[in-house]
Amino acid sequence: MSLLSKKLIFVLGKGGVGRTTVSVTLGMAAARSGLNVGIIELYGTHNLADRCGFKGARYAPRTVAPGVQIQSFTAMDCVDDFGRQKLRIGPLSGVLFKNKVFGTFIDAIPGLHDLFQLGKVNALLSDPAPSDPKYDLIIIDTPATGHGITLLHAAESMREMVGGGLVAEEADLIADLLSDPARTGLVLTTLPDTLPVNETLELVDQLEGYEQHLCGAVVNGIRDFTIPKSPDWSHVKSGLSSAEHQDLCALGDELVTLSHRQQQAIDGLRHGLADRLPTAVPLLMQQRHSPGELEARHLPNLGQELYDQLQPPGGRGE
Amino acid sequence: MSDSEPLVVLCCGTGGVGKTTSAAAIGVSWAMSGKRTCVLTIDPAKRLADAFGLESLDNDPNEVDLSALDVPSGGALFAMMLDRKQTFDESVVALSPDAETAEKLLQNRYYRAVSTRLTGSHEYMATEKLYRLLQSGQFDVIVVDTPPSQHALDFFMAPGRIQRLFDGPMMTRLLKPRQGLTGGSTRRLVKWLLSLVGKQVVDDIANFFSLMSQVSGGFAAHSGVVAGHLNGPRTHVMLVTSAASSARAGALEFVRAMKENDRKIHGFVLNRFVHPTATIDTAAPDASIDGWAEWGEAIQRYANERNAIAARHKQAGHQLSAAAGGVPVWTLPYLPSNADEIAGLARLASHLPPLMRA
Repeated sequence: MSLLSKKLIFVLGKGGVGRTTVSVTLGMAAARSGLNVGIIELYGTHNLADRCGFKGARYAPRTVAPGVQIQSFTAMDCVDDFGRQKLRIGPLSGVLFKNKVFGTFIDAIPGLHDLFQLGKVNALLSDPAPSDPKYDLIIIDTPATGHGITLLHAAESMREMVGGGLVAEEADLIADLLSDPARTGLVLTTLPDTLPVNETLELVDQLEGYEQHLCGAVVNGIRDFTIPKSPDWSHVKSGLSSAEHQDLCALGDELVTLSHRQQQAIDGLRHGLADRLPTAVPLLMQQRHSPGELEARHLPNLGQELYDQLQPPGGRGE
Repeated sequence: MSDSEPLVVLCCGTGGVGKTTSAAAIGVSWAMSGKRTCVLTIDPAKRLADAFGLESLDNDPNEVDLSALDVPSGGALFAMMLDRKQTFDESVVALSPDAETAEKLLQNRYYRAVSTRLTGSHEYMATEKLYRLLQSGQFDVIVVDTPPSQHALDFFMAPGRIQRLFDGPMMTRLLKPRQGLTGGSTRRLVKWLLSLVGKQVVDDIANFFSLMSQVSGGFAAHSGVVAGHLNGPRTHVMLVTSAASSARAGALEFVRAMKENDRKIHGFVLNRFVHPTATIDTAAPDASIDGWAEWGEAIQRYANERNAIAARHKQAGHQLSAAAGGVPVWTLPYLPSNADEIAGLARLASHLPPLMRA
């Protein structure tokens, strides 16, 4: 199942591993394939907007490149559409969120914020309003691990608590979309180091029902630790006078340690994924360490490498 | 407040900066200065258990074997990981007037959602756990690895928000409209609410708040004690960050929010800091050494890369120091070998100054 045939992709990973960078890279690669892509961040965060060169978060779509738009959601933005479409009434956010009593009530129902935002994502894909963009693919710059997993299960959790009403209906629609691996995919993001890789594999163990959704892992922030294949460092080091060239010896040791540590982490991820999942998940991309992290000026070149990788051998088409 | 009261060290910061590792290093450093120390982590980090040589971390303190280190008498280290639901359940049982009330609460569907998923419940239960650790009188120092949060001050604000929800009359007024709000607009709101979530949830929630009213006084007393401690002189707030630009932005936001709320930051920990290499000359060794041409080039390339990172980190350090306004900034070095074992943590701890003994 090709990653680009999905309708919805969640980019998952721990804090600080580069989920936003990977979301944008994926979006740019998908747009190169001719798809109209929406990248969405939730809870009114503005990382995505900032990195793409905008000031602050905005609900309305903003174009970052041909075929790529970004949006920042809050539950309050999404509930207005919910009210319009489901309750056939005017903007709900005014009464629900700005009314003190109701605001408290809405905040007090765990997962309701998640549900309104996911509901809007679902509506964008299945039944967009006339004013909404028509996306072929939506990429969610998902919150860090713990919350990311909660988000994937938000609809089921809501159904455990809520027996009926429009929220239950909405939860069923969302669960229908999210549980379908043909439409919804997960992309893991990690760093080339022991701890992040182990945590990524622990995350895979917690997916509970979402294993089939995994369509790739991205190792972000790879550093260039290329070392000569031969002769061995220990051999070369033994030829150096350790007293005279103490600093060179120490740096050589450090380079070898870091090079092994990085390679071990990448191999560990590859093997760990293969062990856990019957259908091997590809390592999508080994994204090089970019000196100053993602900035708007890097955008035009982003995604080419990943785009090339996503093309089936022998040209395009399934 | 007296010096005999436990010192609470709060490690705050955004995700991905190595907060858990820094909290562990701070814990080791206090233990090595002779204090009976407990590290309370919120992140379900198996690696912390590994680093401490423990089978696993659970909801109660387990002692860490420090025999490999030179620990003065009195020094000891314990570690634990917050189990939000277990802590909530235990407190409900302890604070309920009778077993029946406790059981009804534990079985309530809304309670089960609140105790596992309500936004802020991690912070709320961390507060409850901290209360028990403070009361136990077992520790001189309690290091708290605060939960990753969306907003900088969640650890300080979220418990109060939840407490107000439990205590407040709002929910009761809403759920028993005949006694409270009677206007036509309120009736319309209630109608929408019922069509949104259905009658069963509204009943569950009404039951929950009615039961909770018998318990929440106990919770309120606990969070009051903890809030008093956190606002007092026996709490140190440490902001953990790294030189990565996204982490730096989060750190500056935290500084701004703390200042705005008149809260003090006692120290900054700049983690995974890369220092420049010593000056090297790859032309110095005898060029006839087999393989030196290739290795010299590789080492030079690595040194250039590391120095470029070091230059950015140095700049980030200056920026942080400027924002810190005289508050000390300590750098923990990026270690080429993994820091995830007790020796690595002790190495990191050696970079922390002889700690403040306020």
